[in-house]
Amino acid sequence: MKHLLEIENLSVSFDTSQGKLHAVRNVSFTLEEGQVLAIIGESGCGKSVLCRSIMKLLPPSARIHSGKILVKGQDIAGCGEQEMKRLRGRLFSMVFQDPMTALNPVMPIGKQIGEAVRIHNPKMDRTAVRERVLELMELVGIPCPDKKYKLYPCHFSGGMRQRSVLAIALASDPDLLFADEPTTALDVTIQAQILDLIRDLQQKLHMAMILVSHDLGVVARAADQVAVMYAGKIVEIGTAEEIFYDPRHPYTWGLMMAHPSFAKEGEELSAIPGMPPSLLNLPAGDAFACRNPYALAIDYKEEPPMFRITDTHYAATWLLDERAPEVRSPIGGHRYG
Amino acid sequence: MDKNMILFFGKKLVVFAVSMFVLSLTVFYVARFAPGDPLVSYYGDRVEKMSQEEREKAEERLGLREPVHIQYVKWLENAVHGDFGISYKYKRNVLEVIQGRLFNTLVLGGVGFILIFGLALLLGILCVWFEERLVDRIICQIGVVTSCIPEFWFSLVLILIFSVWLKVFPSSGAYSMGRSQDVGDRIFHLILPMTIVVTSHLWYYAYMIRNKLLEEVRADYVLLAKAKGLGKAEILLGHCLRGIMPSYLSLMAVSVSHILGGTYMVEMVFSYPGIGTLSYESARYKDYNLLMVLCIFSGAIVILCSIIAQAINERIDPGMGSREDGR
Amino acid sequence: MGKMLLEVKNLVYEFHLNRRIKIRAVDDLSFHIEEGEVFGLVGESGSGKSTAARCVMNLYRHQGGTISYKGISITDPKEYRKNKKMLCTKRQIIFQDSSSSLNQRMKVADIIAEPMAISHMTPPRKTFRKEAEFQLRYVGMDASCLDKYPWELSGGMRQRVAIARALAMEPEFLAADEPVASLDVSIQAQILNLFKHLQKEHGFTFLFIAHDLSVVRYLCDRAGVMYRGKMVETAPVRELFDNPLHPYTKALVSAIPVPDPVLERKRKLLVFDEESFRPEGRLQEVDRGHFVLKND
Repeated sequence: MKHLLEIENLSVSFDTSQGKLHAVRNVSFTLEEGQVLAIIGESGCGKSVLCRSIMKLLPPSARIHSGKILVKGQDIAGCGEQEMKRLRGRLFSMVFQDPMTALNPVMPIGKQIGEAVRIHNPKMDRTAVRERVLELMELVGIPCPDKKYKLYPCHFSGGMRQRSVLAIALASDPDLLFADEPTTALDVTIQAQILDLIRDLQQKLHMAMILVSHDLGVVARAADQVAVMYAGKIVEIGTAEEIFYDPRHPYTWGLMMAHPSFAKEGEELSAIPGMPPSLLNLPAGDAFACRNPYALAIDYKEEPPMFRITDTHYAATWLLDERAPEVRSPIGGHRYG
Repeated sequence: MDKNMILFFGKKLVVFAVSMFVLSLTVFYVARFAPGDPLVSYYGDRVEKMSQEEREKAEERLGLREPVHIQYVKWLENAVHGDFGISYKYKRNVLEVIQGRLFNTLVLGGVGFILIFGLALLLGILCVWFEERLVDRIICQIGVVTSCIPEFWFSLVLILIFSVWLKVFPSSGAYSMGRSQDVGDRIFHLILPMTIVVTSHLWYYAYMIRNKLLEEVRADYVLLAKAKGLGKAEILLGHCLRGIMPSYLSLMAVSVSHILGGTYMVEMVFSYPGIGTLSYESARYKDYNLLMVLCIFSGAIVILCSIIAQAINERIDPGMGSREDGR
Repeated sequence: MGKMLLEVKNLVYEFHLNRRIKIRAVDDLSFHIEEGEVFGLVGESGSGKSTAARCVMNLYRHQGGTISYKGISITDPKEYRKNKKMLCTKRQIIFQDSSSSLNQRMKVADIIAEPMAISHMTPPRKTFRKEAEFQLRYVGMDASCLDKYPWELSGGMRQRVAIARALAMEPEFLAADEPVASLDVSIQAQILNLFKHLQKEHGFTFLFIAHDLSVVRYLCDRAGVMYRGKMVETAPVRELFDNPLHPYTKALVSAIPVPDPVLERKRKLLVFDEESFRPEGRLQEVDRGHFVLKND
């Protein structure tokens, strides 16, 4: 069986005035139809760049210099802009973090959605496009779509804008939806609603989704698979249950322990010391070593390979090597039984 | 038209009337207090031979002996009734004097204006399309150079090359003797002055449009439009251009005075019989009535355009309209 | 009950969009903060929490109601002027966006030292630079950053510089307006630990504004929930989260994400019906220290 999306050893770098910035390093994963993969990590770890490089929406200074992007078995890493234009929308769509800036402020919402409808069905006549737009608006839960059709983005609240962006993304029935921090810019009470909406639609339309987030709560709610990224690399990948209940990488431990809801009453949060490294000149060995309290000597010399834990669960840390000393996970196990 | 619209235009009208009043008052006073003798333009050399008595009589006749504020009130009274007095120099009703020349200026300034903004938009789009590539860089370089050349000097150089050496284009005037109805001849005369008007302003506006457009291209919604599957042309022309339209229109309206000023300058170099040369003469020869009308005319255009710009901005930007919560 | 440090009574603040339209950002807001406690203010964006904080700091001019700090009415211009120096040094504010709240053209050392120089403080550690270095170390950065510009620092470091600048004045009251909202979890934890430390070891009082409820739950002693400029509920944090009474608070608490897939997927969302919100009414005490907006 062919996977919907298969990424093999993808590396992306940016040319900057200070040199080459390695934003994505050697990333591999697969995604099946109808699955949700969440990518989690701190800002600047390359999660958004990874998404955008799959859609080829990177600025001209970026370059994919190795790796394969297989969509339904076909490699699109070398595709030109013309080819990508055809694929975008139909094959994959995107929902952005900030709905305030993602919509054109001087174009009515209905028209912006209509554009997305028409681009992949050029023969559709106007009433049919309008029908489809109204249908989409209904689908994403915009009340009274025919009244909202002519309104501009500034008349909409944040939640409604994000719904509109979602409607645009769904306009041509994509197989894969990229959701780049879709709820971060929204109010707490709206966040969960939008997330549930995205999740519902994803299941209803049987789309696959790549959800980028820094919020563990969001990931826990929506993801089937979770990939943890650090400094451009995937350091741990597994099913949501595996990642949340049996994390193996010290960085994943750190991320979870830093979350306020893991803190015990009156105790300090356990912060990860230091800062993420600059992607311009990465240290030799494991990029996380200098912040890792469990770092071994080898971590400073050689990058750890992906160690297999189960068929779905992999982690890149020398702690999993058979020669490594036994380290008990500080969280581990099912927290709430 | 609903009540709001009437209120809106009413307000703008009041602003316009008040600014016109202030403008006329200022020009009136400045003109009167500036050194110079208005009688010279009316009587020419004869003024020098006039006795004190004759002088006083002449001034009396032209209404120049009264205190300035009374002169102003009188002028205003007549002006409201459409009588702007006579030109001292041409000894004809000032409106008649202007009439013939107004058309010339409007042709030079108006066509120049349209050309400038048409070309500026085109260049702006071109630059953004080829952002940071050769075409963009070449346009930018040439633009900077042309905008730095003083228009006065550039005019003279063009006259030297095309009129004196090559003898292709005429160096002055709006038409050849006796051929004022000949459109071809008029266009022929327009070419050099128009070139100056356009080249000296073009880059300034093209650059502004380029920057506005670049800002727009960097916006997130362009990424979304790309993700939809739209092409570069559709995004640039369909989305980004729409985004800069308000600023483009208001830029157009605001720049009227700038371009009008440039046109006046060019008129003088090419002795082009338009409002510009006339204004210069009237100020020089203390032709008060003519000067007043010209100033008010130019002022009215500028103020009107900025009011239009404001109105456009308020109308076009959906964010400025009434807010309705979409929740 | 501790000593009252800050008391806000019936505060009103309106933004004028134009001559006709105005928005009441803060509407009849009352709360108090005791010495040494961390008071959280939560609510959705546009609910008026930042505006309230700015009124408390005299950055916005209140338009109704009174605010008193240590018994001094800071809304009274006369009294404010009389105590201006004390008020300006003892109260400090930290903003969310440290990339725009720090002058990009000033070096870190100058940013930290500037308020001291303005208020003619004699730095306890001889020179301003030494003092800046000390404060910087205190918030967990080293002296190598002294000569850097804010844009050379990461978001977390900039936020620390903003905190160091506030601490340099040796304040007793800190208003923190979403100080961790733009930070990553790991950095957020470092900053939260620092706040907790300041409160515990130095007896700082905080007005802590956040929209992330799990942060508020961790850090604050008491919290108030704002909705459309109104305070709808205030209570000690545990009480507020375990036993929310106002429907909006209930919806808010139900929306806190839990980083646990099984629990998180089971969690039921409560939706607050905005139409049902009635701003009239006043806060009534239902339990000790637990006030709810009730429409009578």
